[in-house]
Amino acid sequence: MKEVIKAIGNVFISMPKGLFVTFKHLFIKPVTLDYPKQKNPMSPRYRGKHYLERYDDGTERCVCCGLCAAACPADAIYMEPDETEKGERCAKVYEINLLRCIFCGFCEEACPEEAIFLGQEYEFSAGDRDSFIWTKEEMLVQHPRKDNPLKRVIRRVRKVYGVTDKVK
Amino acid sequence: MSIQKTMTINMGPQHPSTHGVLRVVVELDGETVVKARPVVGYLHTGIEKTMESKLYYKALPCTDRMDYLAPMSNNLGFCLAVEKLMDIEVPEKVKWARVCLAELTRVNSHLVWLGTHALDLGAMSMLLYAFRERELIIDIYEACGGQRMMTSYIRVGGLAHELPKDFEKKVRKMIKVIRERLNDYETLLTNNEIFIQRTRGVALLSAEDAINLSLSGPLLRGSGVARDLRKDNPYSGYENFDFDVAVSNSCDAYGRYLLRIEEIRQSLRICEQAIDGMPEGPYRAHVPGVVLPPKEDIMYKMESMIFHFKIITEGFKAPTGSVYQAIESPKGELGFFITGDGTTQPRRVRVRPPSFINLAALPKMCEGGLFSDVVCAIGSIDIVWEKLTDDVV
Amino acid sequence: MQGKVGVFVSIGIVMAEQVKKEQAVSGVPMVTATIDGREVTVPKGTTVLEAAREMGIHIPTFCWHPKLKSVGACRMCYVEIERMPKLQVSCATEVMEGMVIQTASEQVLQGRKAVIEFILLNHPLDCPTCDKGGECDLQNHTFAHAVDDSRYSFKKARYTDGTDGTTFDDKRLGPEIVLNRNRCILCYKCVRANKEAFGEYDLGVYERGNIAEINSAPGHEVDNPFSGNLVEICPVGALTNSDWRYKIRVWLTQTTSSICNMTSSGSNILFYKEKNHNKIYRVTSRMNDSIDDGWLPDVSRYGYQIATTEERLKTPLIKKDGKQVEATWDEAMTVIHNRFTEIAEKKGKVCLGGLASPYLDNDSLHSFNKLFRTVFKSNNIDFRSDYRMLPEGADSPYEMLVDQPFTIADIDDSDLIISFGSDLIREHPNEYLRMRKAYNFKRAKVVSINPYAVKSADIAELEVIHSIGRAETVLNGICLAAMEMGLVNNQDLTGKIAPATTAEAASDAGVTEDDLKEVARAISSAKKISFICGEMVSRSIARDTIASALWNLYLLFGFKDKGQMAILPRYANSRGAGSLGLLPSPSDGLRNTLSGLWGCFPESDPNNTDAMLALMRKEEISGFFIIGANPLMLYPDRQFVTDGLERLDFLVACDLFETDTTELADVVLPLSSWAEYDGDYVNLEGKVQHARQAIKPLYQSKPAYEIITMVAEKFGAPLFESIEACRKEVDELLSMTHSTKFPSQFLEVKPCYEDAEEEYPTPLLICDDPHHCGHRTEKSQSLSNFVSEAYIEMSPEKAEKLAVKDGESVRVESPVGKIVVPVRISDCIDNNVVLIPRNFASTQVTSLLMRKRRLDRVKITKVDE
Repeated sequence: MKEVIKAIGNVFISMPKGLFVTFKHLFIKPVTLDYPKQKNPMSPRYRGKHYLERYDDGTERCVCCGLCAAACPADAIYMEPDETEKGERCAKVYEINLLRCIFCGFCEEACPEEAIFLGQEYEFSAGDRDSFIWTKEEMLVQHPRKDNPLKRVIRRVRKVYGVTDKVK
Repeated sequence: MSIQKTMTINMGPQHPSTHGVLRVVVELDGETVVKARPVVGYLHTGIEKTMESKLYYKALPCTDRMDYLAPMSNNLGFCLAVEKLMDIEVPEKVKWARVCLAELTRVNSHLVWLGTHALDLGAMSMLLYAFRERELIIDIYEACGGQRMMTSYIRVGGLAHELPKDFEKKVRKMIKVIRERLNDYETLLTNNEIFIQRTRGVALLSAEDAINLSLSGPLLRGSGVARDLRKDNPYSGYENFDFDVAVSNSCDAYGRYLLRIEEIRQSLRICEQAIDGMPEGPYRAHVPGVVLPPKEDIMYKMESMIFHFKIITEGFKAPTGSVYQAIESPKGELGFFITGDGTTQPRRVRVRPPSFINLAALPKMCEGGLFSDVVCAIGSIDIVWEKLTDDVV
Repeated sequence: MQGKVGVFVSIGIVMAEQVKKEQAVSGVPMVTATIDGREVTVPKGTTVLEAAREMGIHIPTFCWHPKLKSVGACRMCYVEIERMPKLQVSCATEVMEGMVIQTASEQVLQGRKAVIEFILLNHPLDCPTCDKGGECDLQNHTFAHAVDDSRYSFKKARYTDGTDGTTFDDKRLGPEIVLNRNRCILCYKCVRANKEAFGEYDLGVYERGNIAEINSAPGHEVDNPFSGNLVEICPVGALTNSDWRYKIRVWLTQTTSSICNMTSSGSNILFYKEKNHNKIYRVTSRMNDSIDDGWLPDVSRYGYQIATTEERLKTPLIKKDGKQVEATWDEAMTVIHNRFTEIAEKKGKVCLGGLASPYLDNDSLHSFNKLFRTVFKSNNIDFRSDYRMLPEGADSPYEMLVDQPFTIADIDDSDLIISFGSDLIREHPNEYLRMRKAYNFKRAKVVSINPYAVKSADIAELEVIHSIGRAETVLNGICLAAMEMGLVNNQDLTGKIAPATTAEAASDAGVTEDDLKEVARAISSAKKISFICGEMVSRSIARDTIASALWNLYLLFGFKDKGQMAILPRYANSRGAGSLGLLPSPSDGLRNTLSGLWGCFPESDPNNTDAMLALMRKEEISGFFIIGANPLMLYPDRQFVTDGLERLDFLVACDLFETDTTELADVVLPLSSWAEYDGDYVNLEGKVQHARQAIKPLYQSKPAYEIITMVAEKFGAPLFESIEACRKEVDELLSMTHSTKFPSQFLEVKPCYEDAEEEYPTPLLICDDPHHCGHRTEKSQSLSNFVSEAYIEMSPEKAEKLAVKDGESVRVESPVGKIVVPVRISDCIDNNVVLIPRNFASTQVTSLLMRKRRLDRVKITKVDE
């Protein structure tokens, strides 16, 4: 008998209370956004589409050392080194297979030249598999990104062989 | 010709309530379940073997993918196991941060459970509310590790990066919001007669059965056994925190619901304590040859450059020996058994998957009940398929 | 398993005791010391480092190399020795009786840590760009010993060339070698190896103290024929080579152990390949003390590039209307079958002939032999394409001398090493290094008897330079001198040789009497002799005369008991080809075994390369099968070969790339290089070595064995059931007890001089460039970086007489041809002789030669611009 009374109580008192909670949400500002017109900003550490950074003078930072490929748990990175006219090491081929990539960010952590970064971009669907293989040309940003919060302001440390003030 | 009394019905593997690819072969006598047999193996990821073929540090992203609702817990379990194998002591701050993150993960996992379980039982708005609140936690993940689900934030020897600057602010906000919203959830569900009718006295499981089936986590505590590794076998500094182990004696799905709500409250309590008492210090241990040197150093210190290069290309060597490290993940006891052989790759990695072992309770919970309650039983186990099946074979 | 280990251990103990006994007998006292708590007994003079390594204790080093003398430059090998106040460098400390040594104590580790910190102070942060990264000793030792933090925060010292053009201060030292002085840790290993092991002085240490640096000698390039080793032994990335520079990371490669295909000693090499690209990236040595001592000549190191070059033949080619067009293997095989059958039906099977390359492996050579002898029933088969007028039969003095046993490692212990008629550095670089080692470490006496001053004579105690074409007279003179001085008792030789006195012989040969006496004295007093004869004997048409003179020397001085004398085979598997009976008329024993194996042996006339070419001119051989060889480029009479090959009805040629010979062929088949299949090779000692397959056959090429079996199958006569059956036959042939033949008595030697002609005054020698071997290596990019075109090498005096400078072109004329080549002036040649390498297809040097001449003489005139 007690159970029944309680059940009736639940139906007539508690459930309207619950309905009131739902009703209340009619007047609360919705948390959803009108995507794709509106977008949520990603956190600075967000690991999106990769890009290759340049030095301030426009030269590529990547020297094709292979550490990113070595660190990649998914073996998504393929690279072939080459020599520039000046005799410096550079990347001839640098490809990331996005279908293999797991966006763990290990390449970014491994890079000793601060060349590869995982950017903020997350919209990169495509219709065919080939377009998921990103080449160096596609990833190389046209200008050094001044706004990149992760890019430390380092000079070509390897060139001056010492500690620059800006590093410290 | 004998008349067949029972009817066999196949449920899944693509049934919406099975949360993935669980297949249950149910034998019915009218509406009553005579026999329920979960069929596993529809999703095999081979994560253990994958981890064995990778360097220790490269095996870490695999753990994220074992339970996508609790990435930090899995990271933590693996890292603790490797640290135990290699005898690494992490700084105090790392321990506190890890506890905080693990508890965030518990809240995250339970919220998703709550939303989907309620949805299975017919409560639509719960799902939306739970996911709305989960977003706060996911944002914290993103700020920490840079990814919303596969964080890979906890690393052997510490954390991947320093905690973000607004970490404390975000966590405090999250605690405040979720505490409030928990009351709403309870208003919606706890005294909702429909919900009660669907869950109370359903999916019954005695303490004896639970122990015999070696269940763990909320499923075990829901049957009145107060076992929680955080209390019984503290790791990562859980002994410093003040919290209660939620236990329910009702042995049914309703009891488990109440228990998980209580666990969320306790987790928030722990998070608050961790934020309040977070000590200052480095975010990773200084263990040359195992933990990467700071990125700034490799720009001008030759030693750091060499260590960075060697760790990345060759990995670190773990000594010969076997360790078992279990943590209390949101789903139950998550254990990592790692055998090292002196090389840079583990010889054997074995994961004790809580979801898979808990699934063994499904026949016990369903048999004798109604067919419609199978959904409730599956829901109250709280399974995550990725973790479950990779360990089947 | 346990039993086996036990046996090995006990064998080890027995051997160790034997060594001890031997050493005790040989008079070296033994000393006992304790290293890390374990006792060890070693001969006096052993260093602590060597003793520890013998016990399996690893002591890190930078500057130490097992084949070089210790200098103790890097201080990395610190050990703690009781009762010595400071840490000692183990590589330069000899073990003393009762020493107690700690190799890994706290103090030692601290010392090493300090050494590393010191080395790293000015080390540039080049790991990402440095090709050594991943296999760098400095990285490894730092990772093992130091901490990942530095106390040094000042600006690093840096060498620049002043231009500041690049981030990396690389300096090109030679065609292949690039130096980065900033990375150098000054272990001096390269300079020491260059000086001690190779006898080259083009690399040195300049300046001193803080600014000491390794650099090439002023005005010189590092281009010696062993320069690749400097890169390999560099413990850091200071020396790199273009071959490997910026190509691939070492951890992405896999290694395959193999054998060098360029030298006849079969240096042991390691291929670094990438299996997905199916490409070889470099070759390093695989130290084998009994063969190569861990040094590779450049031709072995960079020779692999012939396999990976773009110029490889990609498909079979068939000549249609005078043009070679691409075809499939099936088509090519059908054509071969039809045409050969046609010729055999029309003219008989004796009209077919075959020429194999001595670079091929045993299976290929044996199957080729079987194809000709059982399917074509012909004895027209040979593997020697670059010797004119070869003798018939296996019993000639020359063939007997070629068959003599020779052990490379025995050069080490010889106290007298004679190189006769051999420019060792060009022909047998490994044996050349052995000779230097014996000279450096054992103070062996080196004698060089040559018609000109060869490079290898710089360590010779006695250098006898005789008139060219008078080699047998020099040998006779030595015999006569010995008899006249009473050094030998045997006087049977008198009367069999001419001239009759030492004085006459000396004047005939253009040497002094004292020299001959000195050589005779040296030979008679030596305890162990290595007598190395080279190409100048085997290329000469008077080879039997010279060989007879050598045999007289052999018998007179009793070489049998005190040394080895042999004409060393020249190519990777020359010895194997001989042992497998790939000769027109193999020895009776071989013949019997072969006919036993096959059940038949053809009775037709045996014809060697010479005879076959002559028959071709008479159109008595109409079908010819060349596999791997290039007679047109190498046979010393180009006109003769061209005439012969052009008159053929049908020519099949297989090679790696298009050559002069394949241009004449009706069917060209692409051949795989030795890196593309498994094969066994017999080196000059008769040792069978296995070369593993590194990569899959490139393009459509096939290994020689497969091509030959395909041909046989097309003729409906499969040669073997499987390759195992072939190997079984090869094993049987090679395991035949090889009875070395000696002449029983002194041989008659009548010198056959060839008079100089007025018109063509200068003797010409054809040889290999030190960086090349045969006709294939010019396709190797790295080797052609060293030398890419032919030159005429002459002495400064000669050049002065001709009024030409280095690099200027001269016209070289002989009665049959003329070519224009640039001059290279060298100190390593004199005596009016000039030398032209034969490795370059663009310069048809063999067109100057005539097959019936003993000496090739030419007229050199300056080309007026």
